[in-house]
Amino acid sequence: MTYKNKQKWVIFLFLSPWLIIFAIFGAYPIIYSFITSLTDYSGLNPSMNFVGLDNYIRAFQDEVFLKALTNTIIFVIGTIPFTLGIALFLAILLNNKIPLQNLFKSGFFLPSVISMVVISTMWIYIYSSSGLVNTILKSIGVTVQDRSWLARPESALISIMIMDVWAAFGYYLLLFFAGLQNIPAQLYEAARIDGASKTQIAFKITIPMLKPTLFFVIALNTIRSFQIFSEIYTMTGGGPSNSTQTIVHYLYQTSFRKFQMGYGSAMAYILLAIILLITLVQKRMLRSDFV
Amino acid sequence: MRERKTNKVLFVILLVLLFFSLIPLFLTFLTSVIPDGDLFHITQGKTFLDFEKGLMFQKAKMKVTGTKDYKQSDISNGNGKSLYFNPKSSERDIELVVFMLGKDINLINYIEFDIDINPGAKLRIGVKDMNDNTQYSEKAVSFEKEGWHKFRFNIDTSEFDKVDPKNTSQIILKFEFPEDVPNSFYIDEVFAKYHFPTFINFKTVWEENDFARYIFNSSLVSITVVLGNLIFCSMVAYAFARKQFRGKEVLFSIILSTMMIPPQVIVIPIFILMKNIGWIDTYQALIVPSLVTPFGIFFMRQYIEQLPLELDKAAFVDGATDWQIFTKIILPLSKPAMAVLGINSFIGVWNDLFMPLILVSKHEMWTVQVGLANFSQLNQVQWPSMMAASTIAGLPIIIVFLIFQKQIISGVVDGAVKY
Amino acid sequence: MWKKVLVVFLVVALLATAGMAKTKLNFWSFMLTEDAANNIIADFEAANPDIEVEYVQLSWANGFDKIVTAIAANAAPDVVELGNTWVANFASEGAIMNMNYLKEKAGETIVGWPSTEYMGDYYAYPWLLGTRAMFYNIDLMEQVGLDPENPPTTWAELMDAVQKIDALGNGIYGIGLCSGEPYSPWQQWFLPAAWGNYGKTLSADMKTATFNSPQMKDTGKFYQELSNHALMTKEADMAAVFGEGKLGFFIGGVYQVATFSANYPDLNYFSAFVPKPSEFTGTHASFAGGEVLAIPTQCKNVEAAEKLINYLVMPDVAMSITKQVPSIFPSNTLASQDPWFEDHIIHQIFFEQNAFAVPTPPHPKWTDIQVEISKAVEKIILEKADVDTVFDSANEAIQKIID
Repeated sequence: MTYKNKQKWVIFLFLSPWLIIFAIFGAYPIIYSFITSLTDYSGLNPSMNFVGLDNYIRAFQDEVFLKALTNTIIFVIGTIPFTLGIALFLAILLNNKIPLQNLFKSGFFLPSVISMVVISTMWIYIYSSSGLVNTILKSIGVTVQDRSWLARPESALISIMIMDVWAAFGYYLLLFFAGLQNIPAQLYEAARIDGASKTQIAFKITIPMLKPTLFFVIALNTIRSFQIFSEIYTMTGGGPSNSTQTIVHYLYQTSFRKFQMGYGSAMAYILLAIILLITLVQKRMLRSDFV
Repeated sequence: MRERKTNKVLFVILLVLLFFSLIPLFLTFLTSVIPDGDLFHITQGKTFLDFEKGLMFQKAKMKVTGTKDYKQSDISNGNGKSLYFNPKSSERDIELVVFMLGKDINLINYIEFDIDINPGAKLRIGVKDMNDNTQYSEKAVSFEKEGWHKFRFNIDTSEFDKVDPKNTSQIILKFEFPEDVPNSFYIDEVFAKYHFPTFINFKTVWEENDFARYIFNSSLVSITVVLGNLIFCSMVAYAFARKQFRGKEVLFSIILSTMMIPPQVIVIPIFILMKNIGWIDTYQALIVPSLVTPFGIFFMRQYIEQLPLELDKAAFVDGATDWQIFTKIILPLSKPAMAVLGINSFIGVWNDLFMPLILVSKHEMWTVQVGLANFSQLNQVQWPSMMAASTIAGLPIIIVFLIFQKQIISGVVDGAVKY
Repeated sequence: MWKKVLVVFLVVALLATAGMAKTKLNFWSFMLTEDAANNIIADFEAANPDIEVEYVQLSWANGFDKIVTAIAANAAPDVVELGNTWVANFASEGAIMNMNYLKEKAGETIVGWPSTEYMGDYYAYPWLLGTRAMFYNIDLMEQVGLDPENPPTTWAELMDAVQKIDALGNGIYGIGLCSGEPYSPWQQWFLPAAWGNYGKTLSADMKTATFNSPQMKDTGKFYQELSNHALMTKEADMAAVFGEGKLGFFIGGVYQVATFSANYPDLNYFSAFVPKPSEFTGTHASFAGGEVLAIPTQCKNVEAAEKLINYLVMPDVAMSITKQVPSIFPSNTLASQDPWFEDHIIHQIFFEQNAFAVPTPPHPKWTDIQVEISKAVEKIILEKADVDTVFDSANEAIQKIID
């Protein structure tokens, strides 16, 4: 066997766990749901008629879908900078020696282990008409409407965004910690000897060295944010008047509540195209080292 | 000097942030030890009966048997009104029945009421459960004081072994009057004080649900998936990080794409697939599809790419095979990333609800999250038991996190600058 | 002698085959916990030794998705519990069986059939019914000099009481009108009020939208006037504010009783029927929710499935579920004799309110139609938009959906 051929086998061997699992459990559901997206399948009735790209065209004529798309984009753009900004800031801060360092590191992550139901319920209360936000605002003399912040179309989405930033940053903090491990200590030593300040070290060494991690974290957060579902499902159900409707929530409703599986699947593939495009652009921008 | 001040400010900010981060954990635990209420209401006691409002409203709270001669009265211990009984002299046993609406009487610490009754009268306690079984206490207690006074008694549930104390519909205050004792009396402010804090919720949850089994199922699934991810994702990631081959980036994009398809649209084909290979209600169904995850591959790839190539090269020159390079060099260097991947996979699988709910039906196959999901009933949630169950369900995650976190945290300290 | 042996042998063989040929029945439901189901099913199996029931408890989190998935994968259970609002969808897709003959056999004691109707046929068996009634705060009634023992029974009386209580100020509201979430804006209470006023969303043949009928518009105007004295937020908020004693009235489900008892143990409240338009016209209509039992068309043991359904709707069986989850009551009116109601007076009021409950129109597109109604209701109560214009345009939108 030539070296080259041998290498091919080695690569194949290393890739095989994924190839096998994907072939058995990944490919079929994806192909099935893609084919469904080209039909008028309801889910309750086995009949499937091929309708071509009708479902895809329909989506872009569907006011609610467009609204859901807009909301999802607002959500993604509005949360990612804050979630990752806070996480990055804390990661760099905690990378220094400060009192109670280890407590902070575990403490920020622990909320991620709590089920979303508890977190949602807590925030529903915070935002409710007699809840924490309104109580605080009233006590400092602001006149507020006695309505839940989640019941008002103008504030519902942003309320969920705030909650989401709060609930997610601890998780990304942990990913940053892992990335920070990979920065050689000598670099810091050298910078310190050169008399660099903490801020300079952060911007000149830590952040540039974190770039691959940053790409990963941004891509991951983008993918997850575009798929936001459970917060919407438990807190608003997409209301009021679709002001918190997101793509995944809408496609879920369409598939499982209005029994239009075909149309629902089409939305999923539109979403896939959008996320994939954005991720590839991010890759270009943040990882010039590979194509 | 100035730096020290900013340090202090930063420290305070950190503390505040940490405080907010820990609130849900704290609330979860707090709610699990309260007798009644929800995340923001701790109900420590309840006034069963107060006679300020007309008798019409009392009928939702109580009834009287043994006599018909009772009415609201203006005479009471303090201000307000009480209930006055003036039965016929032949009526010697009078029952004041308090409706419990299914409450668990184990939660009651004591019951207290204001009373003006003739000394010599006796009180016996009865409990009736939802299935219409009634039981009275063996012993009766005597009233000794004259005039208005507070009277307090405990309910010893071990005495009521013929009823279901967790689901009571009535507590019966049976006033027994011996022949020579006049049988009129006033009563007011029947109040129950609950146990707080209480661990009864944990006991109930553990006894009524098979949490040991759920935890076993979840652990089996989660640990297998974590092991699978640690090995397989690193393997695949190694190929992507260290090897060049045709179609690499296309293949990687496909892997990424599988992350981008919402699970909601593939649940039906997955179910059909599992049904056809006979995997419904099996552990394999929950384990095998998650053994290699796109997240793991993506995460490990970017981490391995950052490891210095020189070590690989040196090993390669020394004649090491790829497998040796992978196991002897890459894996040991990837410990922090593996720790994160381990935590992440564990939490992901442990907290996953959607797939287990669809793929698992049999009770003995339920995972912890399926067990938890079944705590919500139509339009109502019993917060204390639900939070007790959540605490039980959350503990393993915290333990796993504490095991893995050393890898992440201790390493950071070593590599960090010391100011 | 040999004859006897032969007979014994035959009997044994028959019994053995009968034992082996047990019919297996899959039963999925939300309401029954595993433990409760085990008891009920054990009794059923004892009465029907040839049937073996396999029970699966569905969770409210996504049990419904599980049903849809199973039907799509041709693995549906033999008997399944559905929410009554889903019957039209499942029936129109041919996923559940016609039950007209069961209805005929059921007799007068079972109520709630209208909510299982689709195009003149019945596709499910009413099992447990839940509806909404009116909660009111006794203290607030007394404060404004109203007799809490005679709560409002008509719209005019309600309006009067609401205005008086709302005038107390200090964060106190007369009434709560749900808004800002799906479903509740019309469910609690606009649309039932309109039904009580003989208003209909759709014509009888369900081909014409009649949302702009005079009855609808009158209800809209009444509702708009109420909204001037109302707290308008989500249902859960409403219950919390009512629990804090700052709300005079609200239309809600009996499940709130558990919330009040847990979180606001000292609240003085009571409940009454939903008020009707006036003393002489209209009804106390309320929203009819409920759980029904259906047989999917994929079922292979229809006969056994029917037996199970007939067993589950028996008054004491259904009542045993109510005792565990007192937010829903048996469809069997004979259950009213259960002594449980003597200890649960407020629940009894809700149970009686069931007699006035009206289901939503059985149109498969109802999910879309109700969105338009929610929007219209919110426009008139939150933006105080003109009722006539809003209802006319909502009617157009609804007509578009059903065409």
